[in-house]
Amino acid sequence: MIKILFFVLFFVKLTFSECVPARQEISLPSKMENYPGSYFRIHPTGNYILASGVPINGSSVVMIDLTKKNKNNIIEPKLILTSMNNEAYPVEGSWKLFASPNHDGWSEMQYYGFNQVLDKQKKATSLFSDREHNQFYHSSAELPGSTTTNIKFRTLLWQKGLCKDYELVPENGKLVNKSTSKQYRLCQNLYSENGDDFLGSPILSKDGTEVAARNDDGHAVIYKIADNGDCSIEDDLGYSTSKVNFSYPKKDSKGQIVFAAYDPTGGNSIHIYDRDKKVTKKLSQKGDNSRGTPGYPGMTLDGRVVFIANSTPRKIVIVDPSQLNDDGSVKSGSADPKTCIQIAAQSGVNRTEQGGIGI
Amino acid sequence: MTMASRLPDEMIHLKCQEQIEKDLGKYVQNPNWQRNVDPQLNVKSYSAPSDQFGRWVEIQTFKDTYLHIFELSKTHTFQYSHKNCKYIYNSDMPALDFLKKKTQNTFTDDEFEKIVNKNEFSLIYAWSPTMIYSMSEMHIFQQACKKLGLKFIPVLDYTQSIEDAKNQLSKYKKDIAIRHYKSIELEMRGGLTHFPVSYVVGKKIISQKIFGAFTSDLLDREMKKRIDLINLRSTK
Repeated sequence: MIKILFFVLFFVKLTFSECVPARQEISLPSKMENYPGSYFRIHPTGNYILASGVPINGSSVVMIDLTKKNKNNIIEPKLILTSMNNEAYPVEGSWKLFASPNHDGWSEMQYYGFNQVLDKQKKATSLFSDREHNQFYHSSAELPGSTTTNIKFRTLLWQKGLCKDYELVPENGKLVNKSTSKQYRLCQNLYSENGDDFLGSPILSKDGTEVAARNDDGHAVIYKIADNGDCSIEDDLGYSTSKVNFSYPKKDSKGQIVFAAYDPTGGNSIHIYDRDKKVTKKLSQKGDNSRGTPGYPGMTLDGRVVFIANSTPRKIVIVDPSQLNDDGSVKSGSADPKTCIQIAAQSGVNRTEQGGIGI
Repeated sequence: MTMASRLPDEMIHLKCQEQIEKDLGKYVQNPNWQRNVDPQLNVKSYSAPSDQFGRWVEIQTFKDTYLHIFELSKTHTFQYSHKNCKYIYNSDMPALDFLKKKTQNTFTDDEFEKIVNKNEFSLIYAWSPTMIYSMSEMHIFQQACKKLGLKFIPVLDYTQSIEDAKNQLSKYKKDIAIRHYKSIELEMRGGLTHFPVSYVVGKKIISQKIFGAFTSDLLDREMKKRIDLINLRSTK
């Protein structure tokens, strides 16, 4: 209950009766057209996208700002350059922080503040770093009980399934880790049965209490994480997917996951899996060519799904799953307000709340 | 004595099972099924390599009753549908889209088969300029191959342009042949939603995929595990 309230309180919305479009296509910033990019991560509001592997003007990680519109009310994406490295990853939940692995020499994982990156761009400096817990293919998420001044989160590294929990509090203008957590192996209880690398490309849920990974058979499996780090299987999809992205916690529902997956006669597509109904629905259309780059769709707080279509030219696609047919096409007729996602006038959600030191 | 079913466990109670088994037998005797993502709501899909290199079979059920069989090869995709316990030839669809793309000097199933049939081991390394670690960590795979005596064979995701690949790769100072793959065997094994994906091959066997990049100690272990498994299976 507390974790649900936490997310609700962070994103207070005023809703109108108008629905979001069933499918919206937005051009990528022109400078990105020559770079296929790598990982794309979606802000809870859908207003920002974190993109790595985009070498523009000395940055390798950029943000795409979708909050600006031209006089014709068309979104004009803006690039925000950053000083982050490699495949920097948001601390999922409210996106207060980014976790940026330092690849050269494997020296340290650096944590940047979201607002600071917005304001200072390439001049933003890390707020906190960890030399011990640093590796590529990481995933981070805020934990239940996290607040604006007491940020609790965990960061999981793929190889060896190493995990570490943090509790950052501002102290003398800096963020200090007050957690006594050491590195521990996530899902230790399952290693003897499955081998010591059975968590393939793991991704934490938005509140860090679940993890999705490929097991030894290549299936996408979702595990519940107990307080002691032990795991139990919640869902086994039975087939292989890209890294998944979880929906935000919702009362009385296991929610959904989104991912890219391959079916032989349909090719690579973006799908949503309803964990309560155990059904899969296609969200992309044939021309989207959702291979490679867009293998990492993301969900917004209101349930839209955002991915990058590898079409020519590449573009950002935002869909409302409730307004799509099972093959990804748009349902005919006007959207039923009972099922569509309503447009929200969001107050203060473009920036995360200040943590006292301008993060 | 009853013959073991050729169908995935989930499908053994389908209507007309006898006929389905018979038709599948034209392609494969002991299929190693992998489940695919549901192509549509309530449609289940499984695929398996056939007994012929470069040809795969896919089965689809709809609400556990209706069924298609697809035969996928480099020249065509045949679709058969089930009616009154008989398969009827339904349509000859074009070969999978990616095979139609015109590119030169590609890595094909013909070449792949020759490499798989060798007694020496090779590592097929699929990479993409969209995934930076598939370029930045390539040297770890190259070093592991050198250490373990495998031939390193990089193949490029066919959806990416050679120009993009060259531009991106140049940042990592990698000097490799840049070749697209056009291989049913690679494509159908899936996993190519992420790069790198690699396979240890040799002695007529393709290993389970190695998904992603690794630190050198873990990669050595993953590769050795697959080499040992191939050696064990090839002596049986």
